[in-house]
Amino acid sequence: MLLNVLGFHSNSRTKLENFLAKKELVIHDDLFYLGKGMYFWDNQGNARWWAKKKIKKEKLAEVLIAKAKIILEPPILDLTDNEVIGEVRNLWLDYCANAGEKEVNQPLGVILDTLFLVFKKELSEIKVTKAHGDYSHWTRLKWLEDLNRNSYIDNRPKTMYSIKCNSKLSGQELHEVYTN
Amino acid sequence: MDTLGILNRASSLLKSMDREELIRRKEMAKLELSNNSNHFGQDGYFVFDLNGQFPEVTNAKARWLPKDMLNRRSVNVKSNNKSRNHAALSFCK
Repeated sequence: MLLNVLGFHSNSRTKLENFLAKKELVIHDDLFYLGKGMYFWDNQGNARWWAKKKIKKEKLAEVLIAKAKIILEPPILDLTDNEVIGEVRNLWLDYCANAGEKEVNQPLGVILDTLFLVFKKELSEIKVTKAHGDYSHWTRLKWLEDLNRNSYIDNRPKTMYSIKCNSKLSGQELHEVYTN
Repeated sequence: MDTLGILNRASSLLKSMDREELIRRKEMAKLELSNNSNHFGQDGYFVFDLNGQFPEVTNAKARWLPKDMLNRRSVNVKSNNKSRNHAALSFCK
């Protein structure tokens, strides 16, 4: 059995139709997250939170939550792994130095998209990126706060995946139609 | 090949690549980096937790928070004001 994790994606019915029927990725072209890819949360709670946000922001009546198995067989770009973060940073700094690029400080999505374009062939095997989003500006769940202020257990980091190729997904199906 | 191997291979290639080839790749990719990016995106100060290892990422915790806040203290039960029972009971609230 392939190593995998269940991922959840919230989006409008129109955007998810082809994904559910034909596994066509809903590519999000985003500079601030993990660059081009279809994004998944690793739990239902985050997907519902995102759906709720989307309903409010886009004034939708409903948002669909799809689920699929994300295949995590190596290689994946795991940006929760310090060694991988270090290597990506080295590559980025070397690229900027060699290409005479002065705008070194960039959002993560820009950095990743740039590296994937410049090293298209060399990085082509990497189709899955994983990272922790940090929502430290949120209030930690009260019972965790009560438990111990110094506790490492925290509900605010959120794990997300960006998928660049549908061969890294299987068993896509509708999980829920979310309405407020 | 694992991820580190792939990244190392790209780094090695970069080191041996002449500047013309790199510029050609950059132009093919139509890359133009801006310095006008909104660092925190559109999503309410969302940041990436990259363990303080990638300060060039403008939407990373390393830039967003003061450095001293990045160093989490280790768990110390003795310093907690609440008894273990009290802490355990807070689960039930």
